[in-house]
Amino acid sequence: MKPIPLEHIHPERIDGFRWRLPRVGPMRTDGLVFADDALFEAIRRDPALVQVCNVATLPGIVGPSMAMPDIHWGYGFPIGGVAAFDADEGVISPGGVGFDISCGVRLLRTALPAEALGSGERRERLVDALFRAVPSGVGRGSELRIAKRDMKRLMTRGAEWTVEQGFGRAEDLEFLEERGRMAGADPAHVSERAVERGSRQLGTLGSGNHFLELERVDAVYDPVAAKAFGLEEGGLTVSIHTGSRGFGYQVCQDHLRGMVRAAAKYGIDLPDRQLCCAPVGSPEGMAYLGAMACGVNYALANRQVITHRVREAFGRVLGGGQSGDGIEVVYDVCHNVAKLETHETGGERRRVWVHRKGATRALPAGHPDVPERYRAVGQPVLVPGDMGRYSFVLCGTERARTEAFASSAHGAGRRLSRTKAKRLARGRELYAEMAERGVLVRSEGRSTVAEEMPEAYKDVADVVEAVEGASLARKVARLVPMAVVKG
Amino acid sequence: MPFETLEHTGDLAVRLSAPDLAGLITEGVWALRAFLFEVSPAAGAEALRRRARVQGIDPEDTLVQALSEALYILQEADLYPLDVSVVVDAGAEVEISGVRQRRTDEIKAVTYHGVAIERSDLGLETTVVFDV
Repeated sequence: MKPIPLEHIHPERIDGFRWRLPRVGPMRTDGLVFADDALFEAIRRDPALVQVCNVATLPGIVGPSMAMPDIHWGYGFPIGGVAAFDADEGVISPGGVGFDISCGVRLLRTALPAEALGSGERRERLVDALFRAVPSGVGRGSELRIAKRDMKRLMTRGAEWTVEQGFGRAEDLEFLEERGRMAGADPAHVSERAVERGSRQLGTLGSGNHFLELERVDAVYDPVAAKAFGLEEGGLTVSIHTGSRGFGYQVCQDHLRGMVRAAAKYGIDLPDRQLCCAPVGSPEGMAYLGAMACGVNYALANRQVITHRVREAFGRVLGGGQSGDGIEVVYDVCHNVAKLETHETGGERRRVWVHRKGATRALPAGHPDVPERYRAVGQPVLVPGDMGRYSFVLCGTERARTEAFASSAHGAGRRLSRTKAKRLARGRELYAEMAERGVLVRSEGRSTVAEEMPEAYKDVADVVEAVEGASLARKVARLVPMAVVKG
Repeated sequence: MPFETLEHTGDLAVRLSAPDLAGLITEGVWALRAFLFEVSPAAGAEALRRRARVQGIDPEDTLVQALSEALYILQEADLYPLDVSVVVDAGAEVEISGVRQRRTDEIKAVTYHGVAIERSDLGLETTVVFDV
């Protein structure tokens, strides 16, 4: 099957924040893009729309093939893509999860006001301590070496295992998706090479768009939800953005190879081979799900170890002991994952595998999977922006649950390609420019900072306005960066 | 004809052109080198040689698998390739010789997205997208 040609896609504006991509050719369902007029205009001629339509051709899709307001061109699924597949008759697609399995964001709150850091030496010492404590950048591994038998425990028990090993506190787990441990993990479907790669990268940030950031709570929009999340104006927070590192990349690569064959075996005609998939209950589908859950657990454990390192660094620089007293997990969201969930769709309750590729789960108030402390307001939705402007904390809504399989946006979305960004950065003093904006930057190399410069991204505020306009989530607070550690 | 870098907002995309599949794989390795290493190695760097064998179900699958293996080799060994030898039979065997050099960038994976080998004036061409 050929990809759906862009000229065959005729978007219809439903309202100010919704665009229907009517079913055409081999599509089994419509596409649905959440975007305001300006955001949609920017992607109207973008291959990302073709990708939304390609996903709509996959067997067992339930509801429309969706894209969040931060939609942009990816590989296979668009970034910002959400698609649900029937738990019995649908498919599972590694390309709908991505290579960085369970890449996600964790937000920590501190008991300190941001002004406690000041703007001088104390802040520099803290960001330097964080830079030393959390390995980042190309090829930098961890000082931890996880033995093979322990890798099995890590793969099956995730953050729960790392807490047992002394990285963090049991109460942290309450505020992680899956409570830090995804069920169904099966190390038998993880290759030796993936285990080997994972054994030396636990507690590392990586490069690219991953970061560790100190922030000031700059604005509170929903005082009730902010209070529930423990956020107050002027407070100091820490964000961690990373995933399953080489472990997850290898798991995805290994299973893609099998899925290419599986798609042919089960007669699944694909418009793009990166969408290769297998029926959920097939041996290939089950094998991938078992390995993917190992990847999710690795990512949750990775962010847990980094959380511990952050606490240690705070303790060393600001006092309060090595345990970093007063630093607590607000929440941890995965934005590259497939999850078995129950949703009401077309007037009936169905179990579906929701693929979120660059999209965040956004559960409403009252949902049993929302931590008890937040249940009256809804799940925190963490939406990082670029390193020069701001990030947002949102809250899941009932509309997201009923219309978008409880999903929301995950970030700003790139505006410039990496090569264009690097070209634009030539001859500029990016570190000095960022310092002038009040943001200290530490990185292993200049290359990543050039690729990740603020101009390379859309304004995340535009994405958040569209998310709120579509009622997929509501604004709770805005965080402004004070210091950033990049790869 | 060397590989050509294409615009891709989220990731990295290249167009590869060569007389045959072995040439496409070789060009792909040069593209990986260009993205992974901004600095050429100094004289006297440690010499390295690595080999990989893959078996695809068709030329596109063989290409993606061969480049995935090459990516693994380049990143794991910090191998800056100076010579690439590819033999295509039922699958493909790739031998990469070069020197140890610290990488400046990282690529997560070679994707299947949009890979379609087509005939061209030069023989064959295709695009390949790397996840970064």
